[in-house]
Amino acid sequence: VSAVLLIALAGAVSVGAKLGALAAASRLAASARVQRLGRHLVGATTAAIGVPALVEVCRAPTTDPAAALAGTGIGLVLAVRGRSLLLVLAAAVLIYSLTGVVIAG
Amino acid sequence: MTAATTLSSQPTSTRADAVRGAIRVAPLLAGVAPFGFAVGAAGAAANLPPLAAWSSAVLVYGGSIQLVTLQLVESGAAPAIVAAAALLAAVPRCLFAVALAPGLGATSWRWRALAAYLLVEPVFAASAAEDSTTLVTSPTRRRAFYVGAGVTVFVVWLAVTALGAVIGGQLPTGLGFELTVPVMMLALAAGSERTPPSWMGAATAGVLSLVLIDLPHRSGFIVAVVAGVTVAALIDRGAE
Repeated sequence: VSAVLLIALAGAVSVGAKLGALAAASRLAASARVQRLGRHLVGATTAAIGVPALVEVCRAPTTDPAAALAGTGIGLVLAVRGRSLLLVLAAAVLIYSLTGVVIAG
Repeated sequence: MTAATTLSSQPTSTRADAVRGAIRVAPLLAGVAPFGFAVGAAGAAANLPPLAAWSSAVLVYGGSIQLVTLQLVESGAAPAIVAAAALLAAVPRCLFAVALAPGLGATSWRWRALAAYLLVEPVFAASAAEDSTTLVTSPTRRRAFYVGAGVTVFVVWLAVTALGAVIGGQLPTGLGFELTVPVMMLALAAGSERTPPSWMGAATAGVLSLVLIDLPHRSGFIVAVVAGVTVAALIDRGAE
């Protein structure tokens, strides 16, 4: 199966699911428990992508693992404190770069 | 401000409502832009045909789903796994759809399909805020607001992902851009619901995704997500 078809399949599934939810919304009640479950799903899905991606970055020959972990750590602390994604990314990249320079020096 | 003055200050045409939607969602674009840039760069760096990487921004509109899909397709996942992952990643947005549907009113399937396509986090945030603060009750005007916000995010998303695809891969390594995707994902995991059950669920999913990474067709990803959500839900139930 070609990559474009697989990507189109994912897109169709995604839009189809949202369309189904919109259509069925009059009969569904999004209780607090269901909404919380949805947020757990966001957390689990993104973590299942993020952890292997971080390990891959750390293993790259051009990356210093300590710098990558330091940058990620700062980003996570800011995210937990509810800071914007823009600030999280900027801080993570800055700390990563600075730590890399310090270690190299 | 009284209800009457609030109502009289509302724009009365659907075009004005659409513009208001675009303006309301504009501050949220500060979070969309770096994410889109990184997703575009990730698509260009992926070992995929250029057409596939480029088309993903339109075919799988939505940052996290696009990223998940690109990674699974690149790793050779089976179609069923790609579809299941897209479905799992879409579930939170299905909940957004359920929350917004009453305000948007009953309408045609064509409009619902457009609304479903445009439904991403910033559009939901702007529309939900509008629903909770405005006195406009007309579904037609609310739909105009929604489309204004949705089209704005869509256009900006296409622009920044294209920019990321074009110049993201040309940036020298060591600047830290290779770190943006994992940090984004982990920040979303940590920030989606800042409670211990959610963190435990995310930690479970993260660890299991590493442990099970060699399972065929990337099926370990699905197992990790289901296990993470289960752990979080069980802790939630215990706390109740």
